[in-house]
Amino acid sequence: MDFDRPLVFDACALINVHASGRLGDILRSIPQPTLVTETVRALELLQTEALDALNPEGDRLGDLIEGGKLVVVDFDSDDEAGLFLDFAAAIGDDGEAASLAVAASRGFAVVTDDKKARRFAVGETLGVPLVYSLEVIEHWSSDLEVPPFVLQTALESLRVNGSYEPARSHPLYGWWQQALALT
Amino acid sequence: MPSSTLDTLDPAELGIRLQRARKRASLTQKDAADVIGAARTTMVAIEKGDRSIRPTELVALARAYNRPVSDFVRERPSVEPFEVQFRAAPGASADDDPIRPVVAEWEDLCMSYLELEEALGSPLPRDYPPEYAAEHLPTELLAESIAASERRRLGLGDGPIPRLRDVLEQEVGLRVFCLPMPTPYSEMYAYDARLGGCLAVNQNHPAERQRWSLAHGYLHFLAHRERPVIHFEGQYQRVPESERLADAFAMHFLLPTASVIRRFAAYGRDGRFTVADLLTVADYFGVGVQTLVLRLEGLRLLPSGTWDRLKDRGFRVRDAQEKLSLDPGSRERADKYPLYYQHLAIEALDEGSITEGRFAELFGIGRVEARQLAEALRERSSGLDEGATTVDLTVGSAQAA
Repeated sequence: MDFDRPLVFDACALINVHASGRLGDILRSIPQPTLVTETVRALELLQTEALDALNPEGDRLGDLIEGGKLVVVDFDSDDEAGLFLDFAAAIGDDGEAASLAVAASRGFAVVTDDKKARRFAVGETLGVPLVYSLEVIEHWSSDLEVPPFVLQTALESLRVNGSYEPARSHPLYGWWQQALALT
Repeated sequence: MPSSTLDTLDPAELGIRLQRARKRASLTQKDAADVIGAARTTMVAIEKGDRSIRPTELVALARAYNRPVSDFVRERPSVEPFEVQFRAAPGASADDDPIRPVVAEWEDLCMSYLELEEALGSPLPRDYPPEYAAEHLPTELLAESIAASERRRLGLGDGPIPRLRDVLEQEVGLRVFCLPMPTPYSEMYAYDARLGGCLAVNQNHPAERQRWSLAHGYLHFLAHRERPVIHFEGQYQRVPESERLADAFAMHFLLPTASVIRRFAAYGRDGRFTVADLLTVADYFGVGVQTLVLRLEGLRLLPSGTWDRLKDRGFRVRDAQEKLSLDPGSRERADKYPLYYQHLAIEALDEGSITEGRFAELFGIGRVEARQLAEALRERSSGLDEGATTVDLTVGSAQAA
């Protein structure tokens, strides 16, 4: 997949990529700025700290933020904050609403796996490109020609530590199955 | 204008929500005004609905109050806040009362429950009896009469009620949460036309005491429906009639006379009714040993003062129960959330009516934990593979297939 604009990571996607144990490598493989909203950072801080603990060898979220690889962004105008309020009222979730509001306002893409957020973004024709977390991981593995066993370990870690499995209808379900099956 | 949502929200309603959130966060109007860089008078005007709020101000206040912005802007059912209902009730009147945060959490949970029902178009089925008139009869007789009527109405016979909470949730349609409360508090009851009857019992209490609290709170629903109650030990110098009725009802509802006499007779066939018999019968009915002793004393099956004598001899209930491997009330579901609430939450998540973040919020847990819970709920509700849960099992669909 070509990433032609900055990516705003929503909470569920950030947790998924972090749970793979390869957060830093994956973010560095993306040729565009990678961002997270202040709303998501504040909401999910404890969760990501728990994931940091699960991957003591891997990159820590705080370090990636401090190093500038993951940029924390906040609403920079009443217009943007207003968009956030509109989306929060419709979606009922601050994290998803903040990611979509920043992306819609600034022409960025959003990495999210959330069914309701994706449905809302498409239904409201926000014009925000949506990316699955598995697409980001798949991009890392193919772009850097990651050895199959490294990818398998990352996905296994995502499955176990992130308690995540794609639905059968997920566009990368076949890829996931195949990558995990390698021994 | 930057936000169409702010245009459509009633400023007075938003002001009330903001004021309540500020108080919950224990902030003054001056503190809140400082957050948005305004004068205190501006904050007063915002909370009164006299001054419109800018989106960035609302975001800043929500953060300072540690509440999601969506709490303020999404459409929520209009109900009378519990804290307002309880203002006149003894038990939660002072701002620093330790039960206040529990009342706030309980109200949030009841509201979320109703929101789930409305989002899915699946209201909690209700089978409410008309309110029992609490008059004319002596308390004891009235309690026994209501208990017998309710047992009949709910098809409970006169035996033990092993899953009282499930009966109240699923047969009657009450919202029953099991929340950690400070030790002296045992139960809270509130009613609102939209929410219906809402009960909360203290999760920190032993199961058999929780069952007593459930029965006690149920009487308030049956006989004093619109009168909110927070119940705690040492609450009254002189116990009011409504409380005496609730106590007597709980006794008769959990320990129906005929059934208690039958058990007593069965165990006391050799003319002796031992401590082991007492423990076994208490376990059978899922009540505390003291409760059973008092009931048997009341029925004159045991001499009055039996409980005091047992205590004087150093009788320790828990030790004795452990020796006999008894755990009264253990059949009662002890989880915090009603079953239907859990069912609606997983259904809403799976059909995309709520986000994963909201699902986690509904259970007060983190995302990864929420995913594990979602998996467990799916397994519990179906035990089937993905996709199989949506199979229509009604007669018509089977014929069509």
